[in-house]
Formats: sequence, structure tokens, C-alpha cells
Amino acid sequence: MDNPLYDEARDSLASFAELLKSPEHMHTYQLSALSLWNALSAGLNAAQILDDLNRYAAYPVPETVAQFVRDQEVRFGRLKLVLAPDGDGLWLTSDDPLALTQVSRTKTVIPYLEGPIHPGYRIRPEYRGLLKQALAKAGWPVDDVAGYEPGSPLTLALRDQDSAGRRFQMREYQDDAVRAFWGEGRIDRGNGVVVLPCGAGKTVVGLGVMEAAQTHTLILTTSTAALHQWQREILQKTTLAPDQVGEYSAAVKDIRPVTITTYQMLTHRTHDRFPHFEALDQHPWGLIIYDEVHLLPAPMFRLTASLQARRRLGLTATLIREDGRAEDVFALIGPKRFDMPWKVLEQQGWIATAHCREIRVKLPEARREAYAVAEDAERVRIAAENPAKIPVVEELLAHHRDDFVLVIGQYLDQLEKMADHFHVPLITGKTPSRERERLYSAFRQGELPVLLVSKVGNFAIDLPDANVAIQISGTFGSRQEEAQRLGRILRPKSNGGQATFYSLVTEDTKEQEYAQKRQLFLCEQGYRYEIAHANADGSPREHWAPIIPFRELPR
Amino acid sequence: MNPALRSAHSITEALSEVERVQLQKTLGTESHDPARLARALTSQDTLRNNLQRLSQDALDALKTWVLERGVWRSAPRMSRLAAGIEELGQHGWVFETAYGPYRRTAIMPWELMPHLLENLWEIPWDHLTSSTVERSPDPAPLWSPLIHDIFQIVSFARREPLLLTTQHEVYRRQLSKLESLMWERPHMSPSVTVHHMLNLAERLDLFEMHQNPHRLQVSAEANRLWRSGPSGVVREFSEYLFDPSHHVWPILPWVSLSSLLPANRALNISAAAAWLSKIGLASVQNTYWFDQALAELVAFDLWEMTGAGQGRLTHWAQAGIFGDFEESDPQSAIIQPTGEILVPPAVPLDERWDIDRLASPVKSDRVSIYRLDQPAVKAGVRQKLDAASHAAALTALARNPLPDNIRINLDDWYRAMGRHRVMEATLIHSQSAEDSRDLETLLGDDALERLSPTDIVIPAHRVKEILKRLAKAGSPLLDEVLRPSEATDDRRQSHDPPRYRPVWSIQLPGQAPAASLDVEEFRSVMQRALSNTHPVHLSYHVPGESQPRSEIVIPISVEPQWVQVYVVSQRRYVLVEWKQILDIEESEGPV
Repeated sequence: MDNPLYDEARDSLASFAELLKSPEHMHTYQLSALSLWNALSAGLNAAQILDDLNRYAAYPVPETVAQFVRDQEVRFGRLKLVLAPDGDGLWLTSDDPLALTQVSRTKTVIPYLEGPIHPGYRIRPEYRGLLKQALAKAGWPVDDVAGYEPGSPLTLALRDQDSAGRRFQMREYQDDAVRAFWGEGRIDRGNGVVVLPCGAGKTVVGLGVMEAAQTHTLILTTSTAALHQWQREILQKTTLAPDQVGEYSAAVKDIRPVTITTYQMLTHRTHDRFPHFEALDQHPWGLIIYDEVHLLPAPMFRLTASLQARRRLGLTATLIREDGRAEDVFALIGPKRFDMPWKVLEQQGWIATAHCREIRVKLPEARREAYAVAEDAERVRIAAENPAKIPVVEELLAHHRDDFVLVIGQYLDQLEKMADHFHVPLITGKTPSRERERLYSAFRQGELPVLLVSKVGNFAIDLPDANVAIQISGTFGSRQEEAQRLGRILRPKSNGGQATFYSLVTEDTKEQEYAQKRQLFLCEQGYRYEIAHANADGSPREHWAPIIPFRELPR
Repeated sequence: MNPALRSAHSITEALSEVERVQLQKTLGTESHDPARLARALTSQDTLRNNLQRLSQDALDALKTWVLERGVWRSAPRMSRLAAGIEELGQHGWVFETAYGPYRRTAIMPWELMPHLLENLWEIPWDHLTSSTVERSPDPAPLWSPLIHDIFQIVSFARREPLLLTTQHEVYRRQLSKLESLMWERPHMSPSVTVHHMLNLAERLDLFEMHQNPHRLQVSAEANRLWRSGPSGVVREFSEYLFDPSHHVWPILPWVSLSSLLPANRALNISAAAAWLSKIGLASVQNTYWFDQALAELVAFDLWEMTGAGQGRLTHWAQAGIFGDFEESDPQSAIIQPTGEILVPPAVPLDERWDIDRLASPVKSDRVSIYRLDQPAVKAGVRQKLDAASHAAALTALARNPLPDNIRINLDDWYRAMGRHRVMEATLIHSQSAEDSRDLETLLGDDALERLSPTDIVIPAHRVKEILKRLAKAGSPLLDEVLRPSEATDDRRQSHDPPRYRPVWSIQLPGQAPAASLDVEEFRSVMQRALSNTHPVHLSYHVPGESQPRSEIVIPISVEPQWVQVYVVSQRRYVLVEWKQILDIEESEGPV
């Protein structure tokens, strides 16, 4: 990062390597078959890639790496996926019979080969993504030129001013993301995932892609609140009229040229059938947008496979799945098309500057005894529900009395106790949608300075003025949950202020270990946690306490 | 430490100060610094100059040294070969390795071999070589496959001692783990690499056994090895690889010949073997031995094939074996707030070894990655570190200061883990509380603590004194301590002697430690007795005996370094070094 060639090297690497992590001092990129394949399809060649590597590398590029790059160039485009000559499905073909023989002997590819069509094999359309994934893993990236269903046309454009009269224009990186995904409408683009930090305007990227595609679009979101948020954004920032944007939810089932629904609706199952999916699948969609694609529920994988013939855009901030199925997301939606380090956007002012702080709270003696004799699962809960966190939250709320604070937790008992103690409203899964909307709206308008939310508040809630988040408990070591919760306060503040994220963990317990894991993704994005300790009564301990501002308060 | 084949550096470093001064005079260098002396010893110019001045015997001795793969197998006394070697010794080239008074071997630095090949024979280069892709003139990378692999083996064994089967083989489970740590070589199975590296590590005495003969732990020798830098590692390695007793096939002459090639030439293997055979090197054309040796050269990354029947030294071997390593970059490790420590390839090996001690390895690549985590802290507690010293040690090795969150984590983990320790204690158990109370009175200050009404903790190191004292006080105890009570640290300090390498000293020829310095006088007395055929009364030191022997002996032959005598009382012939002799007195009567 300190290298004067950093910017130049970053731009160059981004065109052919995948950014894995970007912590404070050194960023890690990886050359993969997929990243090289994307680079080659974008017009780069092996010699240019190796030139760039040699120019920026501190040490000579190992011959094995150079050979790998050259191999990818040789292999790229040898296999092609086109429409079957008889119109029944797709056709995997090649000019090189040996390449076909080799892939037909590859164990991971065999399940997707239907039958021979000389020269090559018939492929069922639902296996399109899986086959591409298997071939890429086997080192044979396929050139997919089978195209997509165009969908019904839909005329829409982004407005210059939003409905409230504020000037609206896509930011440069949003434009880049749209171009990286759309690829000027090239046949080998139009599917994939765009990764942008929370608050960086992923919805706008979705709108940009819709403008490029000019087709009927189905948008899948994680919750009804997020659904309504999309609806608002579309109506504010595009030329679409309200009657062109439909909601397909438990309450309303309205299929329009742009329809927004939730993953829960799509995966709803009765008598071994997916009625909502079947209803929606009838419509000639040309584009499907998966919001928070890292949350794609497992049944969706099967359903998404049958949507392979349509253009697919995945949007996420944290492409990590604790169930290890991130690769499946790539297979079904498409490869990562655009990524942007969080800290870069922070430096450019597109997301708020955030400070992350971990406060290690002592467990009261009485609880410690219970913790010592409890089973593992129970221990996590005892630590998470440490009552000593209440006085610490009290201190923090007093310190941030002029700020907008979200208190986020995992366990309802704990949240309810907090709500009773502080007399602030609580939003959980049980809270009716209307009540949720009312509370969110009150928070947005500054009527409510503190809001308690359970894990329903982890994703897709747009609360622009929230600038402090206090995490009182979480789901084990979930990295994406930690990042998403920080994301709630990252939207740039109207006053240019900074955001502070507190994570309260119980000292010397499992929770502290989990906190380490949780913080990994954010640390890899360049965030640094300041750590402090608090006593069981909420008072800061002398050691390292100065980094936490609440110590400055009169006690 | 190889007795027969040594590098110039290891020879000059092993010499005493006096010997180095003497060598400095012989070689005419400005200082007697070991490195300077080593450079002078292997200087091509010095060698060329000296060659012109040597007698035929000395030249023949040099040729014999080359053809016998870097050693003189036997140099009969009074032979032309012995005279040649002696003459070479006068030029400062020959040294002696000594093990006790009788085992002596004349040696020369192996680095002289390429120069000698070049100067003593006319090499038909056109016939022996073909053109190939030009090799890089860059220095050898410090973090090279060979060094990487030895480091990985030793690092692994430091964390998880190697368990041996009854056949002295490392268990398959651990071998698999080691295989996954090896540098990826497209042409070599990792199991073969591990086999070679384990052999090498054992030969370099990087392992030792503690009490349990089926458990290999890393020895203190490893610290010394990494402190010696990459050149030191390669020095030790080359002494192992080029040792003529290690391989029947002449690896050293082969590597020496290959090292003379220009950067754009490769050796025609069959032609080179034929030529080496023609000049007198035995077994060079034996294909079985050749395959064995070539496999090892490839495993250690010394040799690369450039085409069918052609090959040359690798870039690393060409530069590394002759000490041309890239500059190391001290304190260049980076500690990230994620707890990761990035170790770039040019970090000095001793720093890398220290980082390896202080953090858990995650990935070993060109840039190796370590992580500061709880296992690292556990290892730190075992090394008796605390949070502050751990943090200080890391800071001293890194380019950036330790991030605060990492510092606090260290603090917290040390506090949590260092709170309780399992200790061993020696205690006296009495049959009744009353007996124990009486005993406590007798023990006085030796009673450290009372654990229970019947148990008193005593200091482990005073057991004998306490037993004596109690016996005198009329309360005798049985001698046996029912459970071992040695402290772990005491056990750690005990070292087994090296299993492979006897302790060879090294010295200038004729410089063995002397019992008496009046050698000339003894020699003249012995000469006189020999010519008069008189027996002599001889007092001399015998290795392994604390008292000198006095014997009536009959002189048989007087040599520059020893005298052969017939010991009358033992009825046998004995060689006695002049330096062992304390006194000689010629008898009056004839034999």
C-alpha cells in the first residue's frame, strides 16, 4: 500500500486477477482460471498480463505461474457453448476433438453431458451454470455464446433528478460496475455478481443494469422491508411509472414489467410444488436481480438452475457464506464481475468513515460459575447475554446522546430486557411489517434516536442517518453478519460525520473467540478494531480504556 | 561437520586464532578473518600462481584428489603422494581433520575442485556442451526451494516432534503432513523430496532425541544453522551432498564441471561422463549410480534438464553453491491488523526462524504467512514468554509497529492462558498427620509448603541432603523417589551427543595439540636410539587415560609426525605422536 506504484498496480491487477482481501498494509490478489478467462474475453492476452505482472512484481514471476497464464490463453475459447443445432438445449462443441475427449473423461463434467451431437455434447439448459463451473475448475473455461432469452422489452431510463428534485447521477464506480456486468451487451456477459460495500449504492447499480437491459425484470430481495425500499428507489430514480412496478409478496401478488418479490415467496412450497415460483416463471423476464445474493437460500439453488437462460445479476457486500456455498453462487448466478475495496470507497467519501471498537466486558462472578459448568452451546448464550453489557450500553448511549444509534442483537430475551431497561422500541421478526416501517420511518426522520433490532435488521435496511451501531450479540463467528451490521451505518452522512461500530463481547469466553472470527472479513477490508475492557458494572477498566470515549464521561 | 570434505569457510572458521595467523602469512592476506582467508584459499588467481610453482608430486596429488572425488583415500607414508600433499600443505591448501590422536585426514576445500579441473586438464568444451537458453546472472534467491523445504521440516518438528516407528521411519501420518508443506516441484513427488530432506536434516544434526528414542525433536543446532545465513546452510548442505562416502557416483566433480559452463551452454551428459571417465574418474559411467545421483541433484534443485541428454546446474545452484545470494532485507515482515504476519522472501533466515517461533504458520509461499493466534500464545507460554516480551520480539522483527488490537489480544490471551500451569512437585508423604508434623519440625526451612495434613513439599534438588539429614536425626527414609521430579527445563537442557557426526577438530597439518613442545629434542634422542639400536624409556600420554604411561620401547621408525615403537611389555607395535611424548630417556644397553 505504501508503494508509489500502488494505484497503478491495483488498476492493472483488477483487470486479470481477483482481489481476495485488502487489509491495511498489503492486499492479496489471486490469478485463477476464471479471472484470466474474464481478462482474455475482455481482449487482454497472456503476453500483456505477464508484462504487467513482471512490471509490478518485486520478484520474478515464477515460471509455473507464467505457464499457467499461457495455458489459459491456449485453452480459452477451445470449448464453446452454443444453442443446439436442433434447437433442443445447448451444445458443447470444439474444433479440437482431443479437448472434447479430455473433458468427456473428466469426472466432474460427465454428469452434465447429455448425449453426443458430433462434434460435442448436448447440454440441458439448467446445467449451463454448473457445467461452466465444472469446466472452469477442470481448467477448460468454456466460451458461452449461447445467449440469453431477451425477455419482453421495457423502456426505462434513469432520471437526472430524483422524485424529490435532488440531482441524481450514477457514480463512476457504479458506472464501471454496470459496464463490467453488461459488457456492452456482449453475449459472454450479462451474468455475474457485483460486490460493493453496504451503503455504496448497489441498488443504483441494479437500476443501471436495468437501464442497459431495457427488459422485464424480476428482483429478488430478502424481506418485505427491502422489497419496499427497492420499490421506492425505482420510482424515485427511473422513469418507470408506479403501474409498471409490481410487488409480489404475501400481501400483494402483482406481476408487472418490473416485479419485486422475496426469496421466501419464491421458495414457498406446498404439496411439493413452488406455486409462486411457477407463477413468476411464466413471465418473459429478460433480467433477474438477486439482492444480497450471499443470502440465497438453499432451495433457491435448484430453482435458479432453471433460470439459467436469463440474464442474472447478483448484488452483495459480503460474498462469504458460512455454509461454504459461495462457489455455488458463482456457478448459478455467474462469476464476480466487479469488486471494490471498502477502504477505497471510504477514502473517496462514498461511504462513511467508520471506527470499529470491541469492548470486552467482564462476566459477573455468579454467571461465571454457570458458564464454567454449562455445555458448549449454552456457554455461548450465557456469554452473549451477559447482564454486564447493559450498563456498558448505557454508558455508550449517554456518550452518543446526540447520535442515531442502532442496537443490534441476536437473542430476543436479551433484546427485550434492553428494550425494557432503556424504554426504546424493539424490532424483531414478530413485529408486523407496518409497525416495522413506522419505526424505521421514525428513526429516519430523527424522531427516534435509538432503535433496538434483532437479526432482521442485519440486511437491506436503509437508515441513512444511523451513525452508531452497538452489537450486543451475534450469530457465532459469522463474518458476513458482522460486516452487514457495520454496513447499517456506512451510508454517507448528510453532515459528513463518521460512524462508530461497537461490538460488546464477554471477556475470556467463547464469545471473544467468535468475535475474532467475525471481525476477520472487516479486518481484511482494512478496518481496524480498537479494543477496550469494561468491568461487570459497566465501568471501563484502566487498561487500554482511553481508546473508548465513554471513559471521558463523568461517572 | 564432515571429516573428509569441507568448504573453505568451515575450515577457516574452525581454525584457532594462532593457526589463522599462520595461514594468513602463508596465503599473504591482509587479515586473518575467516571469510577473507576462505576467499584467498579459493581464489582462482592464487591457485593459478601456485600451480606454476608446484612440483610434479604436488600436481599429481591434486589430480588424485580430484579423481578420488575430493579426498585422498590413502596416502602411504614416505610415498610420492604423501610428499605431494605435504607440499600442498606448505602452500596453505591442505588441512587436517582429527578425531583423537590417530584418526587424521588430509583435506582441501571442495571449492577448489572446479578450478583444478579447469587448470589440470584440457577440457574439450565444444564436444562436451551444446547451446541452450541463457541463464539469469542474478544472485540466488534466498528463499529457495531447498532452504524452504529444510525450514519447513524443522519448523514442523519444532511444533510436532517427529514420531518414529521401530524401523526408525517417520510415521506415515506425519510424512503426509510434511509432504503438503514441500515446495511444489512439477517433476518430483513430494514424498521423494521429504525423504531427501529428512535425511539431510538428520545429517545436519537438526534433530535430537530426549529420553524417548522414537521421538525426534529439533536441536539447538537449528538455531545455529539459521543464524549462519543462506551461505551457511548451503555450506553444510554441500558438505553432506558432496561427501564421497555419501554417493559412489562422483557428484562433486560433476557439479564442478557443470559450474564452469558459460550461461548459455548445457552439458552433454553422455559426452561429459565419458570424458570424466577418460581422465580417470571411476564409476562415472555406471548408469544405476548416475540415476541415483541425478535424482538427488534434481530433488535438491541443483540440476535441470535442458533437453534430451543435456542439462546444467540450476540458476539457484550456480549462484547459491558459490555463495552469491541476494541481499537479505532485515525487519521487512509486515504485521497486519488481521493478525497475519507477511514474511517476504528476503527476510533473513534467523528472523524467519524467530517469527516461526512466535506465530503459527498459515501458508508458506514466496511470501509466507503466519498468524498471531491462541496456539502462538500457547507456544509463547511454553517458551516462558509473556505478552510484553512476545510483543517486543515481534516488533523487533517487523517493519511496522504491532497493531493495537493485536497487542491487546496478546495481553488477554497471555492473561487467560498463563493463569494456571501444571507443575511437578516433590513431596514427602507421611503415614499420619502426627508423623508429618514431626517431620516438618525436622525439615525446618526445607519444608517449603504443606499440601495436606500428611504431605509436605520439599525442594526437588535437595532430596539427597534431606534424606541424609533425616537419617542423622533418627528418621531414616527409603532412598527411592516414587515419581520423577525433574523439572521440564532441566530435561530440555540435556543434549544427546550427535548421532551421526563424531566431533572432529580441524587444524593445520602438523598442528595437533602437543603434550610437550620439545619435539626436535625427542626426535634426535629417538634417532640416536634407533641408530644405536638402544631401547628407550618413554613417558607418553595415551588417549582416554588420565595418567601418562611409562614403557620400555624399541624405536622402529621415526616419522615427521610420529614415531613407531615396539612396546616390550605389551609385545606390540604402537604409533606415538611426538606431541604425546612427555619424556624420553635412551637406555645404555643394546636391545
